[in-house]
Amino acid sequence: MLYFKRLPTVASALLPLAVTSAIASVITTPAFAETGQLVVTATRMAQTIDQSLVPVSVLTREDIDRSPATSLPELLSQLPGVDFSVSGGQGKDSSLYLRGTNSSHTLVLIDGVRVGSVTLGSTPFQDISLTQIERIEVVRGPRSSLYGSEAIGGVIQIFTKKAQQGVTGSAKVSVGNHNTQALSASVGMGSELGGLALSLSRLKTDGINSQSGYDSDKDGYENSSASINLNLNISDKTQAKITALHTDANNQFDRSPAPFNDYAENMQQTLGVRVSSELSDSWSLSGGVSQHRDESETHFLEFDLGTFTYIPAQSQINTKRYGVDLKTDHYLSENQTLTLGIDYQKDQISSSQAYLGDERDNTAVFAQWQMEYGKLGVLTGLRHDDNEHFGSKNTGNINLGYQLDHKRRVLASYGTAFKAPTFNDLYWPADPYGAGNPSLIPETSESVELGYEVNNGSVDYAARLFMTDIDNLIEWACTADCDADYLALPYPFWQPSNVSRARIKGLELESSVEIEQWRGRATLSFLDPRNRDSDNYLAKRARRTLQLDLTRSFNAMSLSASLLAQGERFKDAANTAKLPGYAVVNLKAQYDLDKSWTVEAKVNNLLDKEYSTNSDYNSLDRTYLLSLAYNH
Amino acid sequence: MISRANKRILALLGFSSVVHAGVLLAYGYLYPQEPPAVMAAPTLQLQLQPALSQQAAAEVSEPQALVTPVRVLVTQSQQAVFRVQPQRVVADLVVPSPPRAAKTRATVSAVDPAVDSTPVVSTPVASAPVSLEPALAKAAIVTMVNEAVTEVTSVTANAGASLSEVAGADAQDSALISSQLGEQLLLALESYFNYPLKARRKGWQGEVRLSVAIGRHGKVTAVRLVSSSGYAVLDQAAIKSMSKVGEIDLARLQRRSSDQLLHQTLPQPLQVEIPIAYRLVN
Repeated sequence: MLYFKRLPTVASALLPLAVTSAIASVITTPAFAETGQLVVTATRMAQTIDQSLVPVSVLTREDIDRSPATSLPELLSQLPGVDFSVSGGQGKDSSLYLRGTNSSHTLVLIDGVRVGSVTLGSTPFQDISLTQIERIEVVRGPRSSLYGSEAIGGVIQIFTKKAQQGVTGSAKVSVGNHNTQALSASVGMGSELGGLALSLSRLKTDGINSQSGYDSDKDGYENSSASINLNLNISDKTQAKITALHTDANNQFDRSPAPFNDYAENMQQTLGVRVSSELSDSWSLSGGVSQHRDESETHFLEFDLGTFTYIPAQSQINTKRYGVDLKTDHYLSENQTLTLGIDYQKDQISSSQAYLGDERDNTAVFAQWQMEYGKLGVLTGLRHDDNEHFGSKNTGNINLGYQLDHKRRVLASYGTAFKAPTFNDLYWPADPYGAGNPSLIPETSESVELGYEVNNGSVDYAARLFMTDIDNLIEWACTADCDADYLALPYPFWQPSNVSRARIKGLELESSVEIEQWRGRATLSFLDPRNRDSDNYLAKRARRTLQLDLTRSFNAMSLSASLLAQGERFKDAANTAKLPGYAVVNLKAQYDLDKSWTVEAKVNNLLDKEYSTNSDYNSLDRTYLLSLAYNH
Repeated sequence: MISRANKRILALLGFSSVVHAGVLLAYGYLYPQEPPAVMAAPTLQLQLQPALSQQAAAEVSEPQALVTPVRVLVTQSQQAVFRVQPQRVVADLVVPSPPRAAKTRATVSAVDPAVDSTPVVSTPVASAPVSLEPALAKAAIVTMVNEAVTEVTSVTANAGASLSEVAGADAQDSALISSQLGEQLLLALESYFNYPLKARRKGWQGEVRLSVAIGRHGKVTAVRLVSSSGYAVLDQAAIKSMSKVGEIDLARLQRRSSDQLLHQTLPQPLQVEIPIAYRLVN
């Protein structure tokens, strides 16, 4: 690790080298040489979608434990296609641009439940505590034909911790600079009857000054989370699952004149009940009901026109999403499956603002067919959405894979997707500044992708070339009194409309290695995200990204390092100002004191790089975190 | 305009490319055509074991060990993987695959005497005295192991000895043939086998054991299920894939081994047992 500290450039340049030199040894030892048997391996199917035909990055609990990341945005930032724009350190608003698409263009599911704010259309990733997570699947590319609205750039599915066999328990206490304190504990019980897991976590940090040019105090963050995961094996063919995740966050930010401290209290709660049954060897059925709540209460100062002074104000926005779905899987043959499903969703809002509309429902039917015929794999899906507000929308996709030999594969896909307008876009109550536009239609997209994958067992490579066209993008613009100033009424009046078009082209080069005690991953991405009308680059997307991860395990110790290097990005849609590129190195060392006790140390932003991924917002400087963990 | 960080990324990429290119060039210069000897030169070991059923068994792979000095080890092993039924066959070769095919014929003959020397090796570890009578319920297995494996007895091969001079040559022929057949089979099979979608989706894994009959001309004449994986889908897929193999290319096999051993036909039909493991990885 010292090596890294002194020579970051050399060390990171050598990482891919380790990858290259490792290949030779792999080629010389086919799977059967060691075991004396013919080993037929395949990738375990991801729960979101089969990754043999669709690019999916999977993070298991071990991956999360190995990573130096301390937050979900930081963890996801090491995955191909992921680009976050963060507004000032831990717990601050984090916008995800998956493959260059908008932050509202990624569907996020927690234990299968659709989450995110119906007013903003985005998910507060920063509030989801890593300690609650068992597994993460990140699907790149459109998936509306299976999941409906929002799945333009991709789908992220998060699974909460579930019980292991027997009785388990763990606890962890961490301290770090910026007065960071974290505590987490979980217990689990599992048997043939099922399992119950309960996890609790708490985090508190003073943080940094999130935004320059405003109040120069530190903007702190607090988070309390709890999750329950209950599995019941009703019979050997039928299983019920109840999952719940609750998160309370208190986030300080800068908006009002000092010394006032703006802050927001955000709550997220996900509840899901699902029953799955194998009706026969070739027919299974699964149904679920779910609820997601996203509530925020924001405290700030409002400029009062009557008295011409600032007065304390607060705004409350509570959104709810209900879902009911039923899905069947039919195995037409050993190499052919047909999935049919219906789902119903209802989004609701209650707010201190008088929104023009407060609920909307959506009913959908979908079918997905997957087949493997010799070396050819086909996955195709169709979905019909009928939305109370904008009517019907059809989406589809086709993914093809062809096995050149047992190690190499080519992939091709085409898919369409859409995103329903948010409640803010549609129903924002008219005020002197603007209003929503109820006549908006969904944003729609078309994507094509070509891929080439090499799978050598312990060394994998992939190259993917993709293009996404998004039409009817919703943009807020001034529609009346545009020459007016804000000194007297009327103010310039803003409204959203479906005006904009974007074309995003990209190339992703990935490599991963797993040899003896070494694990490594390297991704290089090039992105060309443009507004098709102005030909400007879309704001806040980095056009080049390099992600490296390396872990070395010893007997009782493991060392991990990660590097995230991103090129410049524009601050604004007009491309008048840039945010420079940066590179961040994170380190982690973990040492097992005995069977139960572990100490770990993390150093994030080792080089103490000053950078920003969003306008005038600051990013965390070098941070240290020391933890003691107990596992039973 | 190129910003500082861009320069850094470019420099990093450039540096990485240069290092890679340098290493690859040096590599190509030092090891023309041949991949590097990444693994320590492996040792060929011959293991004697009480047969698990009535037959001999051995692991199978490619003949890289053919180039290395050969040591013979007699020990007990419970590993029965490749079973050869003709009563006369007592030994099978198990060797890991070479980087790319093939060493010369000379190297092959270097192995034969070593294999042949098996019968004279004393067996301090074997639970019972072993003699290599064909019909015996004891079997010899040649397994390729790394240096790390504890050796019991070792005999350096007499590389100069010719096959015909060696006692028990028949048995050794068969041993070599079946081992190479096994290797051929595994190579051939790799491309035939795939994981059934249904099993992948349901998360089914397991090991299927098949018994495969091979005619004198290399034709796969019969495929029989020896033990099930517990899932009919996997068992059926294994049988189906194996049946699709059709014929093993004896000409190719011949090119890789000694002409003395093979003349496009096998000395007799063979029956081999092949374990096929279906495994899902994350």
